[in-house]
Amino acid sequence: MKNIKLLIIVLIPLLGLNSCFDSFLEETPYSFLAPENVYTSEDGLLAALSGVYYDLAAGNNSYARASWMIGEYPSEATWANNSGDAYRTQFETYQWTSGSGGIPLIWDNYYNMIYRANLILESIPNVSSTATVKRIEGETHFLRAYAYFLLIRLFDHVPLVITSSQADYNVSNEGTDDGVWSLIESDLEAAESILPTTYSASDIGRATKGAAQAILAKVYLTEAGYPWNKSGYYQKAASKCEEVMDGRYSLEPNYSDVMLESHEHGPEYIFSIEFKAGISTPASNYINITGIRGETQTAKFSGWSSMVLKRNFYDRVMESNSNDLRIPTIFVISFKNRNGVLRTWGIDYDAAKATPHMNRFVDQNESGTGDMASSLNLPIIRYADVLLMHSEAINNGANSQKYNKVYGINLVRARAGLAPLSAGLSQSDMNDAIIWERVLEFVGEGQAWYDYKRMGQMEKRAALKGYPNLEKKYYVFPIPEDRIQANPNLVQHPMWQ
Amino acid sequence: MNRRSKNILSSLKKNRIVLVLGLIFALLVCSPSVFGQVTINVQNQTIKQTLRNIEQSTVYKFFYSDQLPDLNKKISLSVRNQTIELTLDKLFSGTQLSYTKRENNQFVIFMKSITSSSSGQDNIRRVSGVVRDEKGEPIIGANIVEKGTTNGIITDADGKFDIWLPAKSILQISYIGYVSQDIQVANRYTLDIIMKEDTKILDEVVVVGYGTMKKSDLTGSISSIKADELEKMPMTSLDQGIQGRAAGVQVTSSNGAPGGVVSIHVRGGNSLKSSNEPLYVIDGFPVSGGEAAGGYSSSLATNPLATINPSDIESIEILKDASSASIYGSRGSNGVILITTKRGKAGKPKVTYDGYVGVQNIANKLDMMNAEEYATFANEAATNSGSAIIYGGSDSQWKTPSEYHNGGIDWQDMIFRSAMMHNHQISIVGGASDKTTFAISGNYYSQDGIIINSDLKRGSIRSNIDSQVSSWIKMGLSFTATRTKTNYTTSEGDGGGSGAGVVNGALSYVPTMPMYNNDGSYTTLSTAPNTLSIGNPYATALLTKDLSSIDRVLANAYVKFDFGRYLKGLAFEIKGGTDYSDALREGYRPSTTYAGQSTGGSASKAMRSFVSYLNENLLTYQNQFGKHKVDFVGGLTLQSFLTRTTQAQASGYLKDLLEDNNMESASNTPTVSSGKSKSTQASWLGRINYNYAERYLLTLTARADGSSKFGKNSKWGFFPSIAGAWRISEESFMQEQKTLSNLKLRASYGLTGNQNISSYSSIASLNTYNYTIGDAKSIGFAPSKIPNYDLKWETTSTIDVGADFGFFKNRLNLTIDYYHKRTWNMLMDATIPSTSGFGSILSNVGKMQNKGIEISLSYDLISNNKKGGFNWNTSLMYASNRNKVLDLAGTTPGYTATLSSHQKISGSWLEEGYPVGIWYDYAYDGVYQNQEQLDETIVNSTGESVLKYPKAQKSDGLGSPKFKDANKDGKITSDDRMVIGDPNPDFIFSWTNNFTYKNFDLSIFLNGSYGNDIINLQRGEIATCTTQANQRRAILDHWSTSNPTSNTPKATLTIHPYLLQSDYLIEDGSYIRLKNITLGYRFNLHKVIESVRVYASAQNLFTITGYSGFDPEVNSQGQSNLQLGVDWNAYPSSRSYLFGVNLAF
Repeated sequence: MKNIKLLIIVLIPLLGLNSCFDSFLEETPYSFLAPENVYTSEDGLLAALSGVYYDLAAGNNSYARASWMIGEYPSEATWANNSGDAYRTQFETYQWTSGSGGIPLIWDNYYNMIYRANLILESIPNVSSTATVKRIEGETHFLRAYAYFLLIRLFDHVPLVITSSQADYNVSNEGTDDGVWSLIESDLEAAESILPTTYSASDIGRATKGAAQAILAKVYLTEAGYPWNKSGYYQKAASKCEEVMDGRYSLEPNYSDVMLESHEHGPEYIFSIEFKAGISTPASNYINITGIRGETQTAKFSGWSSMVLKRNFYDRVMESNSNDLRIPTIFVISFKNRNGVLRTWGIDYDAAKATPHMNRFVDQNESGTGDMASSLNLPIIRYADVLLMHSEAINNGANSQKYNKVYGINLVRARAGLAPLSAGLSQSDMNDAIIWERVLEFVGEGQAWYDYKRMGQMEKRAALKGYPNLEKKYYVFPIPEDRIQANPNLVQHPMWQ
Repeated sequence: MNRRSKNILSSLKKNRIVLVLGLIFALLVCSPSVFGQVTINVQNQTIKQTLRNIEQSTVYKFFYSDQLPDLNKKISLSVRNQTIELTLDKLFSGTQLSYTKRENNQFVIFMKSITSSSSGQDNIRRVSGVVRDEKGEPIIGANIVEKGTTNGIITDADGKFDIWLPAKSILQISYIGYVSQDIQVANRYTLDIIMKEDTKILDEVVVVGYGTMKKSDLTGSISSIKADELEKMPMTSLDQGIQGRAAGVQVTSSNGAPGGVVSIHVRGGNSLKSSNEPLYVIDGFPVSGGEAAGGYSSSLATNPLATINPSDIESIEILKDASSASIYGSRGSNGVILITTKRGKAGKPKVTYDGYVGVQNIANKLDMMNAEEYATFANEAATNSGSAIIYGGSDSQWKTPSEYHNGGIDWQDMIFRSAMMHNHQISIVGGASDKTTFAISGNYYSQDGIIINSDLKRGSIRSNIDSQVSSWIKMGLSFTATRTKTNYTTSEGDGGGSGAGVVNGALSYVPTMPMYNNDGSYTTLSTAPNTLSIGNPYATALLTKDLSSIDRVLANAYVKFDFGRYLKGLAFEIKGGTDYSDALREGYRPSTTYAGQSTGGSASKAMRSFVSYLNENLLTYQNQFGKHKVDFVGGLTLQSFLTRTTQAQASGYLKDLLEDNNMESASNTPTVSSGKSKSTQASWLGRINYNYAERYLLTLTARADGSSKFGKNSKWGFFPSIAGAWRISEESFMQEQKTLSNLKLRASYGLTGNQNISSYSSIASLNTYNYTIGDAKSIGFAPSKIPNYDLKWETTSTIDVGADFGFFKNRLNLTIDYYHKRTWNMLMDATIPSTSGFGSILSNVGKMQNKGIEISLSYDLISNNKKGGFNWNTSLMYASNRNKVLDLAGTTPGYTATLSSHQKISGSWLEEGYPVGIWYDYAYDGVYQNQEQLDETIVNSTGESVLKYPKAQKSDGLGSPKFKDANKDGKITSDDRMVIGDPNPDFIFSWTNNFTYKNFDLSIFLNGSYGNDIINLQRGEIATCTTQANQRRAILDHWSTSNPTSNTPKATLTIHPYLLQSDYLIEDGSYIRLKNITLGYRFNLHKVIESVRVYASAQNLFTITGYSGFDPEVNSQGQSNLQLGVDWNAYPSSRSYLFGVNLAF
């Protein structure tokens, strides 16, 4: 027993020595930065800002995939071809549910973007104010507003989160609508007042004053339209459009150039998602998704036929005006494949599927490096959109001293080689003309569902696509079921309850 | 001559070597009959010497007393191919000697004329007797030897013997399992000998954490595998030695690639996020290194066991319950595998050579459509879809089906080959004196893969040295250096994207595609209409470079101070060591392959360096106080782990020449990534074993672990355990019976932990999120997670109740264990509302349980101790584990992953109340065979009349697949999904048989699994009745108007998407397999070399299974916790034949 005592006497003091290991067990990060390394300086905030932009462009949840698809697949123009995630077909066929796969991706992504923006806005007061810091503040306001704008358009009632840290994660989405709209407006107003109209070459791609104005115009137009129907907002929208229509921007002379990498920051560019292959930044893959499966339209990319155009859309376009100059850019009518063989739709390519493919993302000279690494940008808003928004605002009640309701749309039509519309069109015919013009002009750009909603045309356009008697609930996307389960204070949209 | 035919030639050359070796082997096996005949020619030589000569040249053995008369009489003898009897008759003619034949070629030589009453001058007498055990049972086959001579005999079936002896001699009696005894013959003529059972038979020494114990003293559940067991069957990797030899240990190969990843689960998986792999401890050193550098296919992580040479292993112990594993504290939850390498033994150096050469072939080729069948099928599919036919259609490139009658390429034949393997090992074991001993070995192993351009080569040297430098100081060194070079092929993966694997390619690339373009270059991409973007599998396999090289050094040293002179049994040991590995991965995808053509050739180079340092300081104390025995170990250990990685990628090469060796010449700016991470651990450990009267055993173990990986508020965890055992067979009341020779009841309870998460998991960190500004990279940063300063280890409690039985003097041994493990504080990404910015936070929530039964039985069915007698040992292992997720802390049930993003196949479904790994989707219900099935309605429970077989898609019609409408609402919706499969087996089992007869040994090893399902992603490509890939020949029997009773969907151009989300892909993975059969023969060539054993071994000879893929023993997701039983075009397993030799000098 004496011996055991000896052991105990030796061991007990040793056990008290754990504190000696405190420094041994401390973690030293080598390959990553801690928040205090970044959110404390101008350089750091600039990097943090790129981290916010990143959320628009990277992964399946951003405009590179789900956010683009949720706007584009419901379009009367597109067909999901049973290819890809089930949610794509659900978007395309108006069969989405609160369990549809793509919706949570979007929900999460834009709250992550808001979180990143909030972190910057909270850190700015602690960093000495320079012109760059001020500009970062403006860009951050712009990006946060855009994230909220996306969310409120998709879901109508969304939680308002304006700090990066929350004492209680279980935020509610009830009674937040006015707060969200006013945050969007005030953020964009702040951005408009701070941001420059142009950038030097090394900063091109950042949000400009014009971007803030154009998005704000769309915000007003959205608030004026369905389901918000706010009076006076068509006027605000028209005025904001006219502020942009001051000569800073003009249409690309050729519609076929709009999407080309060489024209990506041309006269029509206002704000785009920037993609670039091969430099460790997000790249796009629209060409893969819309390209022809089994054919090689460009040397670098294979096609998956995941988003193609509907045959009846093609027929309606041809019926509407077969001389529309946009037709060869919208549809792949013929192309030379990798082996130099000319292939023509309906003759020797894709005859089996009897459907034309989308030609908007084919750029033979782009700097992309291969599948899923395309450099093609996606416009978020371009000048043609501002022109069409202006016509929409005037047609629905706004007054203008400068331009009548067909001014904007006729500029867009003129570029397409189409005859001008008469200012004498009825309001409803004019709205039909505007939506049709938008469908054609922005095919592939992820705008359609938002346009249908704002203009109250969802049922009509879905019927044209082949889905008559559409339920009203397809004017909104339900909050994903499991996100509601994770937060007892979230309330599902009444139309989806 | 093209490369292909060169390959065939070189493989023929290699095979010729095998053939020659095989012939030699066959000759050697046949030759023993030659040894039965005697040929001898001696002149003027003593009889004794002549007998020796006969012994050396034949199989016969002679037993006699040196004091027999006439032994030194000189004779001359010449016989040729004569029987032994005639030879001896000639030899003994004219002498007083005679002989009698015993079993097993033994002859006893005695004096003819002597009778028992004789009083010969040297008192030689005939002594007879009987040998019995303590219970009076005769012992058969006991050895009776006159001490100091070769004169001896074996007891017969009644335990009786008789032997001629001088009166003053001493008889030695021995028998395995009994205490040997010496008996003075003195004046006795009859002897009645009682042998005592040797209790030491149970006292096999077993390695436990931080020490060794006698097997009889164990209180915990430990499986022990010894070298002699491992040596019976050749193995190419250590995991093969573990599979089927330890109950409750499930070994799953992710594929059949040389050096492919292996996953080992001890008693099920406990964790969702942390690793479920056991802790490996090599010679006391907890190791975690030896991994490959990441390259093209990071999923192809190397098997860390592949860098260990199996021939160096002395023993493998697997610590299964908490009592044995809690000494490894926060790393013990998944069990601990202790690997002990061979050490030196005192005595003359013994040199051994072990080598084998073998050939492997694909075990099971899949039966695919040929070109004619595929072309016919493709035309039918086009017609079904309302399109123009392809073959014989407008494009003349695609000929009519009948023109493919003898054309077409079997792409499987293009990439699979007969592959060589060989292994050579030389070792020297010995001791300069009792004070210094050593074991040194060198090994070279080379295995070609059964897919072209894949192989593994491993060279290793090892040296273990121990030295007693003074009466109280002993020191030693263990050193192993290994280089493992692997030539990978991209096997896994499917037709999506450029990384598609060659296994998928070999099955999917349609047989109507040509090998070459018109310009003589390889076709790169399937251009057949309505097929997927699949790369030419032959060109991909042949031209893609993916080389891995790993250099690993394991070195540790110890100094042990024996303080016995101060306090009896007290010792102190200091250990230090390092596990260092350096890995390089070089890859190139040339522009002539599909993957490389769009990028103009792409190169990848990755480096990974890992180093771990360990310091251990152990105090041990052992003593006995009367019937009380105490064994204590206590200590402090410190270990650090540092990993550094660098990876570079470049693409756009002018020529496919410079590859990854000159990335600056690539036109696209090379991208570089790098990383460094470190973790540390400090631990206190202690264990007390208490033994009262060899009957009552108690073990108390505890470890306190501090780990850098955990939150600053919870760095230290404490893992105690208690275990007790009662050796009932040692109780006096058990001494009366003779059936049960061993009975021990064991029970243990304790806590172990799991901390296998990556470093820095608890602290706030920013990740890189770059964005394009001004057409250039703008560095971006943002938080990657919410920090959790309370993060700590998972805790698992284990109750283990077990019993060890030994029957009939331990001829039959049976061990049964029941365990119940509960894991809580599970490391999980706990769901939080994503409006916070993140969807989850890594925290300690969730609970899981595993419970099960393990049975292992070993029986010396036929035990013949007579030399050369027939022996048969059979052993069976059975293990059954039930896993269940108890609590997911409010996480919504859901899919854990997407297995194939190209096919949109979901991974396993995680939900409380179910085991991990289940699949949840639609149930396939055959096809619409006729219009009635399309129209049939039923009235459901709410009184509605609904379609009995609602369509999954509007466009579905006759011949389209049907799916079960589980809720009978007349629609196929996501509510109709159900649990459709479970990858967890009901039980796993193995059956080993070892036979010996004369100089032959034969081992047969079968293993199997019952009740597990496999999700066969391959089916999604090649059995979904579409033209997008070549289809299995079985698909020819699909539904059509002329085959309306088929339940296989009609031919189409695109896959019905619900097929890929249904149990159409799930198959029963039960199997029973003849894993290994080895036949050996040992020569007695004492003059030349000590022993020679030659053997032939076949692995994976046959498998009985209903599984339709290459191999049911598969998990493409490797060591994933959540994705089990996935076959994603895994590298197929091979059947191999080996011929080997063991030489001892």
